[in-house]
Amino acid sequence: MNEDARETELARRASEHFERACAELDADTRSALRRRRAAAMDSARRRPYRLLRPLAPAGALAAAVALAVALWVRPVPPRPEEPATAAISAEEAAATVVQAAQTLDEDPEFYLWLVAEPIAPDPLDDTAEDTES
Amino acid sequence: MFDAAHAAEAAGDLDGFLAGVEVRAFRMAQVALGHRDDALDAVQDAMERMLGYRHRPPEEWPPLFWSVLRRRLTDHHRRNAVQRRLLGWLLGSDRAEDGAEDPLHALPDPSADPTRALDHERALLRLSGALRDLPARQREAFLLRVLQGLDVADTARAMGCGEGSVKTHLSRALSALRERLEDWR
Repeated sequence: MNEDARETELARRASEHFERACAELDADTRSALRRRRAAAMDSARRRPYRLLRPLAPAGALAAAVALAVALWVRPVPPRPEEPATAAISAEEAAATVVQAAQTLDEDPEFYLWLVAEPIAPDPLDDTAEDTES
Repeated sequence: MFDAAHAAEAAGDLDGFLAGVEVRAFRMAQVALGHRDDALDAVQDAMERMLGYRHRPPEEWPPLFWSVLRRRLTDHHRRNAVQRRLLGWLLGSDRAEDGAEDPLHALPDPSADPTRALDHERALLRLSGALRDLPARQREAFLLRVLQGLDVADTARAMGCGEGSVKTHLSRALSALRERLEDWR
């Protein structure tokens, strides 16, 4: 008998022993199996959440995906506008200073007149009017 | 929306299905685990888990049930492997690592009664010992394909693999068992 034939024969004998063992299972064990089945069916009423156990991995995956999507598409809060001064670069600031200095150089008499001229009274200042009258 | 009447009807049908497979499931678990009470626990656990699939079409129940029971048996084997290593370490020997006799296997089987044991039960007991030494996938292929008589497609569905893998695992299992059970009748 070659190897394949011996393996086929082994499978046939195993199946035969198994079928006979099933057919001749003792009454005590059959009774125990019925009790176990009744307990299993009853567990659905006592612990209904167990029925959802096969769905637990899918639920966990769905929750993880939902969280990832929520984080991904969440709108970015608008950034506060920066003050205008912050937008001026160092080069622009230097140019402004140079331009002011050049103006002073071009017309120094104007600035001397501005210092020597008395300050005009404020027309909205009531105290000044009372004093003059 | 949950329909209580439909659920009860489905549960009733499932109860009938489980009643029809419980003896074969128990014998398969007994061959795989080698212990009556462990086999009863495994079958009950598989039944409880099947309640979660009761709304599936009844034609899907057989491969689902065998798949659930297969996973339960594999989990049990993994736990036993850890216990074996722990026992080997506690006993201060390397027997477990050497593949020597499993201390758990030496424990008496409370269901064993030599005076009443029939020839085929003794034969299954010996087959059980040889099967437990096989890699998990080979053992599963043999249990489902040879003992349960599932076809290749259903076996593949229950094992979560392709049909080619089933044939490969089964071929290796038969080859290994042939060497270990030379005088098995």
